[in-house]
Amino acid sequence: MSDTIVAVEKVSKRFAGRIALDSVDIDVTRGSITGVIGPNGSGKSTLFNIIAGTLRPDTGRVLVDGRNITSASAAEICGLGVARTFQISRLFAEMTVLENLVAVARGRDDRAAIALAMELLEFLEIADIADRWGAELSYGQRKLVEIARALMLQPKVMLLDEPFAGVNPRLQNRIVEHLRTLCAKGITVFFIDHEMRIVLNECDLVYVLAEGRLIAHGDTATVRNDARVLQAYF
Amino acid sequence: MIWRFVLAAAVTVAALAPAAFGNAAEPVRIGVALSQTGNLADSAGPYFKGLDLWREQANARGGLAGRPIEFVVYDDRSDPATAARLYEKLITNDKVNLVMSSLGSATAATGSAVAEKHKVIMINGGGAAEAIQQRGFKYVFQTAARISSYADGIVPISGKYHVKSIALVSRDYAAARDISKAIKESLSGKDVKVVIDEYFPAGTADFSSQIAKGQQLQPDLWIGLLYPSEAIETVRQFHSMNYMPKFFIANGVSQEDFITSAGKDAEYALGMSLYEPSLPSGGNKEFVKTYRDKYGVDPGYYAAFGFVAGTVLEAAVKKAGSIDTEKVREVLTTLKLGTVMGKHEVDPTTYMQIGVRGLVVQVQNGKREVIWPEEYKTAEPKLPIPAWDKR
Amino acid sequence: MNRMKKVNSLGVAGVAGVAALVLPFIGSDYTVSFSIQLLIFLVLAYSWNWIGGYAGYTHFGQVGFFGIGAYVGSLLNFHLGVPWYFAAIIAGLAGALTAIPLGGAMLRLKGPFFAIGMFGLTRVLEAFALGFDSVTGGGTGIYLKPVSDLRPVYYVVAAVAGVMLFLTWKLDNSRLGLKLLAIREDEDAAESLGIPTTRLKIGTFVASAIAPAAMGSLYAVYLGFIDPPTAFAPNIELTTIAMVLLGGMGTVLGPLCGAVVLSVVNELLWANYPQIYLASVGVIILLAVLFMPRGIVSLGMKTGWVTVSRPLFRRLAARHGEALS
Repeated sequence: MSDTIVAVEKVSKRFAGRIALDSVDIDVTRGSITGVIGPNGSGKSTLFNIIAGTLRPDTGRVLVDGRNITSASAAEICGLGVARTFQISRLFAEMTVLENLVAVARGRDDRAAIALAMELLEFLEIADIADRWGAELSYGQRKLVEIARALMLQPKVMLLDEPFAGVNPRLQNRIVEHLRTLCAKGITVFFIDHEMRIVLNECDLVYVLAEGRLIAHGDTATVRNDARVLQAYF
Repeated sequence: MIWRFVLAAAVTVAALAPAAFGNAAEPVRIGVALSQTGNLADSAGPYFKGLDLWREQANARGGLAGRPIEFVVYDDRSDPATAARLYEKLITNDKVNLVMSSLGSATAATGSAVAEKHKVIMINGGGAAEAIQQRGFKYVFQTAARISSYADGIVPISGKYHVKSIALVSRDYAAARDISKAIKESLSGKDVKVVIDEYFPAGTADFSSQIAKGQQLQPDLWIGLLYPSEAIETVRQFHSMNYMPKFFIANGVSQEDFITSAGKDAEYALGMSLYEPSLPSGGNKEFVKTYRDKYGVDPGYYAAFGFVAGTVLEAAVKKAGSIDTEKVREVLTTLKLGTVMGKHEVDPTTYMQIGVRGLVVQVQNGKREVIWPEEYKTAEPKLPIPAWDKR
Repeated sequence: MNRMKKVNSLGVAGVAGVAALVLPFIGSDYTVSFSIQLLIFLVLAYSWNWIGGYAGYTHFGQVGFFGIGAYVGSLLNFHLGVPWYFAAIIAGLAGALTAIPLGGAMLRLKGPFFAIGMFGLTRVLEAFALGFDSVTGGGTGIYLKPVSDLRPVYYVVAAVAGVMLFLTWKLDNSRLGLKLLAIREDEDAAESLGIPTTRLKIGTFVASAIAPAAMGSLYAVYLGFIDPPTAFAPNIELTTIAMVLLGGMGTVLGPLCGAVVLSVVNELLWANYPQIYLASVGVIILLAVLFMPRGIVSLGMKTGWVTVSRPLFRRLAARHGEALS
């Protein structure tokens, strides 16, 4: 089962002449927790948006489960089992937490959708806020609801955009636990963050971006001791 | 002593009379939906002033069938749907005896349908569209001049002066399209060619391209269905481009603004008109005088529309001897009458107005003179219009 | 806690339905006439609420469909003698047929561009009705044989209004409604979470064009007359939007509240103060938008008099919670 679920092949992207990504290659192994770290402006978000289909690469291609999705729309990619969260929470503010989840559910059965939503909220230990409005949630609650909403799509791959940024360590640990559980269920977790502690302790595989270039990758121990990483980060 | 007694008796009678009279004669209530707000408000104002002046004068003459006249007026907001609703209200809630139309074809159209449904007489004093009358209604009588009356003078003038080609340059608005249609219909079959037929959008102030076309195609008659400001611009630009067709006629010429703003350039221009204060029709002098005394301005054609609507109703009630709907209706189907707008007569089947004719006026020495029809002429026409350097 | 006091959508609908049914028997012709106009606006408000309130695509072009319907219905009735109720159905279909390509083209625009673009389109339609006078009668308009009794028209319009209320209630309690709200809240996020935004937008736009076109046709029947300024009146558009704003956008009872309040206030104010009614209505709407940005209905929800939106999901969630504990 250790095959590749998301493959990024030689992807480059420029914005008005400035290089955002320069021939980046990434393999995300099925069932792994894979992280991408890099300082601000290193091209993490661009990479994410290209995988999620909201941006198109200039060159290179992206494969999901062996299928070329380079020119697919965001909705199509989502349909292939790739669900995402957003760096800055994009919950539907005038809908309750439950409604935020139910709105994106697939399938025809309302009851099944609600049952799944409640199950996920319970799994993430936030069932008590099911009927709170999206607009009234705390920062951390939003992060969790974003994850729950992505899980509603019963994805094969979760793309998490900075799930740990700005979250207190206790909650960070909780999120990590949840991600571990998801992994155990066979869901691949692919996230970007600059929270070194989590990335360097919890990931199966780490990619390091700097100025649009991949400067290192490997397991946490390899990356932790990589000279270029140390230079870029410490 | 006797003198004192007479005086006392006179005072007592005078004091009691209105009360006694009031008991005996309940007022005749006439419903009107009037556009007090909205885009028709400016035109509806004088229309109601004309109506109200008539009411005053008619009441002084003893009212309708000996009963004083009272108006029940609501604001239809220049909206046809509101007009329909209000005539329902006037007829079913207020139980008015009869109704006058609002001013404007759309509101008169919807209001008249309600009057017809309830078999209540409507004097259509403000709805100019022929179509209002062509629905076979039995209780709606048009006293307003038809829209096509504007074109009445075009054919005789064209014939008299051997007009062979015409230009039609008009602002794009509903009435202009209707009048234009009427003009083309009345000219069809005659040896007249339409060489320019153009509509320009509201807000246009530059007519040089149309004038250049005119210089090239040389139409004998230039017809403009224009607001006064556009008529003013047209003659000014005629002058600056040193162009003058043999005949230039526009409805905007008949508005007061035209002469005051265009000044010398206004001279000789022809105007389509429905009513002029100078019109030598029966009772017009008196109407203009009393109107001016009461409101401080000369009546325009909307005021005349209102006044004539009342005049016709009063004559019909007088002839019928009562305000009984069926009796008055019977009289109205054939009533012929001289009014301040000329003649009143309705078509025997549609009750469409056929008595009132459009007028042609010409600006002469800073005044509008009626030059057509012959019977109302106030001056001889000075035609064709001389070129700018021949004045 | 005070459950009995709460105004329930279905309860309101029931009371309104009974009132609507008996009104023609107890009211005068004027009442019926007034009610027809109110109900037509109610239908327009509910239709606009779908695309403008739920999907968040506010626009100023609904009266365009109203006008198309008015002309399609009138021409069928006038030239071919099609009965008015049947003409109204065809008019509704014509509205939908026009909306399909229009939605595909116009819904690429967002926010004010879409709103104003639709307004412009309506003005083009009006100019077309004016200019194409060999068919439409141009500025003269079309004169129909007036109906001798308003009651059948009233019942048809009332039935459509009832259906619109019911469908909106269904929508409000369905996932489709939530998906539309998601588009309103954040279209890009909705798209990347797999909600088929384009299809839903166009579908909603088309659905929201049907009833207005049918109403346009019935309006012409009711008036016995239609001309371009009447069929495409900007006033109809603005009044409709004002009703939804006042009542509460994207709610089940909002359009009903807004239409009833605004119509009645209009009628009372205008009867007593014709010169200032426009200004007064303007001030009322302004105050409403400033102090009740979510409309009368949301004020009712806050004070607990009206059940909050989308009760079904709340109920199901609560039941689920109870079952677990």
